[in-house]
Amino acid sequence: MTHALNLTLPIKQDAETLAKLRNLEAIFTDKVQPAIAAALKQSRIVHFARVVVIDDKYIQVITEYEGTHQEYTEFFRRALTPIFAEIFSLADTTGLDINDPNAFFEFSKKHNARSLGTATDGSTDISGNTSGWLFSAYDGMTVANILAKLGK
Amino acid sequence: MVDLGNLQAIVARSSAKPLLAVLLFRFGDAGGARSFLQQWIPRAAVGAGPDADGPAFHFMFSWNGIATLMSGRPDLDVAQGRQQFEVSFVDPAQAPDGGIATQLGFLDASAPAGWWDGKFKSSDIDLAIHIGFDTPEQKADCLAQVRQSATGLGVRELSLDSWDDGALSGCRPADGRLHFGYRDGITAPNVDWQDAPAARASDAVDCREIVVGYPNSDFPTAPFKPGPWQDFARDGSFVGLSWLYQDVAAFNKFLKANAPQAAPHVGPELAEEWIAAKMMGRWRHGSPLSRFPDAPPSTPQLNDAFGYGDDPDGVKCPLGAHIRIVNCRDHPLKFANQIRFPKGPPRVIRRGFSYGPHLEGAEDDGKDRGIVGLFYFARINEQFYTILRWMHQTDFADAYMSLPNGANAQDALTGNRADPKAETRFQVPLAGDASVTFQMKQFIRYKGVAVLFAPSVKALNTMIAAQG
Repeated sequence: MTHALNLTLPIKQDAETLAKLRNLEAIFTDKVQPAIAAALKQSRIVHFARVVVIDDKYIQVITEYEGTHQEYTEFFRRALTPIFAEIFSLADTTGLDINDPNAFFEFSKKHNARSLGTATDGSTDISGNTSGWLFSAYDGMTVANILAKLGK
Repeated sequence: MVDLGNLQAIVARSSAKPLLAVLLFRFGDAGGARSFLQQWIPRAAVGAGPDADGPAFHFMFSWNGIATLMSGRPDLDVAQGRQQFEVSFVDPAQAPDGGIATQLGFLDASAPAGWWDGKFKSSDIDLAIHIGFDTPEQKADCLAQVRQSATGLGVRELSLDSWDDGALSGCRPADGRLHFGYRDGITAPNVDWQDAPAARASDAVDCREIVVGYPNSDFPTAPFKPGPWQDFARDGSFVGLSWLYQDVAAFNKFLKANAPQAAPHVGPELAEEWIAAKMMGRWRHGSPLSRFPDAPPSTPQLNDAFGYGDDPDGVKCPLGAHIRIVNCRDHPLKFANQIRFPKGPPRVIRRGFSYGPHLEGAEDDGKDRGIVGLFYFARINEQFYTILRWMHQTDFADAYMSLPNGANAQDALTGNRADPKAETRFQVPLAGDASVTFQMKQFIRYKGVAVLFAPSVKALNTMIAAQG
């Protein structure tokens, strides 16, 4: 079953944080993007992923992936620890230790914005409530199945 | 590194006590609860030494139970503790009967709404006391004393009237065989309590897989942050307390009905045993299929040193066999799980007992029988819940994708077939490209599950110490 992650963090507005944001933008294509792509490509559980900045006010990590939040949040944390640390450092992360799975899970849960609407495939959110709507053109076919049909 | 004398005995070693029971309680006020525990915790069995004569006590608490006992203590702030213990322990939504129940396989007849005979909820349990007994008389006396003490101090027992003892109770079968006929207790993690990686045996398991309080990057157990709650939790383990009904009649009926499918491959005499072995991954007397794929040896061969490296497609031991899912050994995990489990697949210590009368044949007698399982581990989500998920949906390793609808396949013995997406066929590969496929039935049902914490001896004493 495909789940959506709409991780949405308010960016601190001090000069130091905004300078960090500029740096993240500057290195994203050459350094951050390949690192994320390498981990996600090998995982074969992630359909799409992107990082979005809105008016320097919010940064979003948005993905569509297979499996439950409980099962794969720890994969994302372990596989991309330095990248999450970089992104999370733009937000108020008082008390968050990126190396602490429990704190990472709670932080992700707190900042995962629910999509509008209602899931039609039985998908549930981190607490087991019905998820927001996520359109799928291929009825929730898994990444592995799609790749297999493509001969990859 | 781990002082086994600080561990409750049930974690440190297995016991030979023949009779066992688990009493469940809900606290009233903290004072009464503490007085009750002050009476009984001194009788806790501790360390790795042999069983002493007399009842062996073992204590487990829910987060609510810990919070009640520790409330008001300046040195251990309960609000801080709630943040630092694993979310699966403190957040009702992440509990076995919470919003995640379905992903753990707890649906339909195994749904939490029907647990504990409908008498109470998992979240009502503050305390569980597991007791091992030497004789029936000792059991009767001891249960009466504990109950009298609880009643007098306002600690309410969550009783189960349908059981003869009014509580989960049973025995360790003399021949080690449980209701489906399988010998149990063959595999156990070889825990490296000394935490000496350089001297560690190849099959040894890091102690952080079993006890909390020593987090590192490979085993980032909670409480992760150094401080009083990590100190409190150190040398404790989480416990998955599971009441599991076994439908012996359905199991025997299934073996008999499907024997004709197996007979052409193994002969009619061995057909039922062969199907049972393919479902478990062991012949029912215990010998593993990986070492004895064609027929059981005349005497059980219980050497546990085997893997699946020479059997990637499951010709010897099917991919859907129970032991190949709950302890997949050297079977490669899919990439995401390799990242999650850098030191190997999750392991747990199993303690438990069988309950209910023996049943022969395929006619159900309407009596309750099964297993009361106690599983010990350090990370709830990454160990206990993960194994439950893998039994329910075998998408944890790429090899399963070679099976028909393999991402939704299930454990041949324990899968919950009521899930609409579940693949209910069990494919048993044969040599060459041939295979036999069985249409699986429901053989087990969860009747109650709770996640508790078994504190260290030091923590037990902290819990009953005077406040402040």
